[in-house]
Amino acid sequence: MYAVLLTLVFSVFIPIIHIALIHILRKQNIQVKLMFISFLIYVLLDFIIIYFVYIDSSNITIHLISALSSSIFMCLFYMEFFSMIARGFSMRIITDIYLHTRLNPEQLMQEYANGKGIEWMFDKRIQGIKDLGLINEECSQIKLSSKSSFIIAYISNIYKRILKLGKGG
Amino acid sequence: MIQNIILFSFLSFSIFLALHLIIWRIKEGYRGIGLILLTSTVAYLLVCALYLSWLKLSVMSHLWTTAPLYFCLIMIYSHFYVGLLKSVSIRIIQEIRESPNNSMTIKEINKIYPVDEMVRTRLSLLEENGWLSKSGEDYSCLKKALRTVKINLYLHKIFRLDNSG
Repeated sequence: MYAVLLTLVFSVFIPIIHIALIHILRKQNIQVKLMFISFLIYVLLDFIIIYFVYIDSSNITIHLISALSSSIFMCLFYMEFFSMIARGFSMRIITDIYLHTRLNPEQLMQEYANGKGIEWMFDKRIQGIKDLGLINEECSQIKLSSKSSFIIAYISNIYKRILKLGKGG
Repeated sequence: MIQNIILFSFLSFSIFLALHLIIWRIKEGYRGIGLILLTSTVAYLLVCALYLSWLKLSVMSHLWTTAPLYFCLIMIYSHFYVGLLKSVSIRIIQEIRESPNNSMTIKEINKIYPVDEMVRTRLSLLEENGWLSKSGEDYSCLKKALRTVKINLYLHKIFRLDNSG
């Protein structure tokens, strides 16, 4: 029980380490990488602390499994939270409406993300997949560029069909 | 004992997947993360009941190991589920894969997956869930949204985020 509770308490260090790294390094567009570094530091620290707390216990493996599962859970929870702030579509929409007091859909599409426009969001997504090497662009034609992209499309298609999820997105 | 704990968590996860498949194939409408959480809790309780009644094994002593391991698996699965369900990037990859030559122009992607429709759908959803109010064609923030946006803008400063969205 205490291994889980200690891990949950230690999870406050994820945002602390993440924010500290962001402010120490002060580089643009590095936040996601630093989030993963803070996960690694947190999981390792937690693992070491739990190991030394329960070093004499006969059930040390069980405590370590509990701690590791809880720490991965908290990392994924934080990842979702950070993704909502950094990339959240709904969050950006309500933020833009707040900044302009009131907007109609056309105005919102123009003013999206501090005036960058909705096309910027779409281009950002396309650029993101390009950077991952899943697609490439040749003579304005966007093509799937690796085996992984075909596998992702195949899994996504089958999964959505089995669970009747529609097209998604 | 470790094998038992791992078996318990993976059995719960398998039952969750079976329930998830049945419910999602039968039920129309809401398929959000709340329903995943509810289904996963039911699956976990079912396996607890199974262990207690049929196998006469105590589960309480291992609750603090089986629950974190099981809910860690659920969390990983939830990321996979939301990723496939909501991701714009995966939808684009899927559309390109389904196109005749496995290639598309930006215009063609826009035609199949119009961004203005995406915005309008999301605005309706936000209005439906009490985040926005609509008067005429204009949308404005309700109390819940105002509070959230203030926190969000503060977090943008802390995380030095300039390109959110």
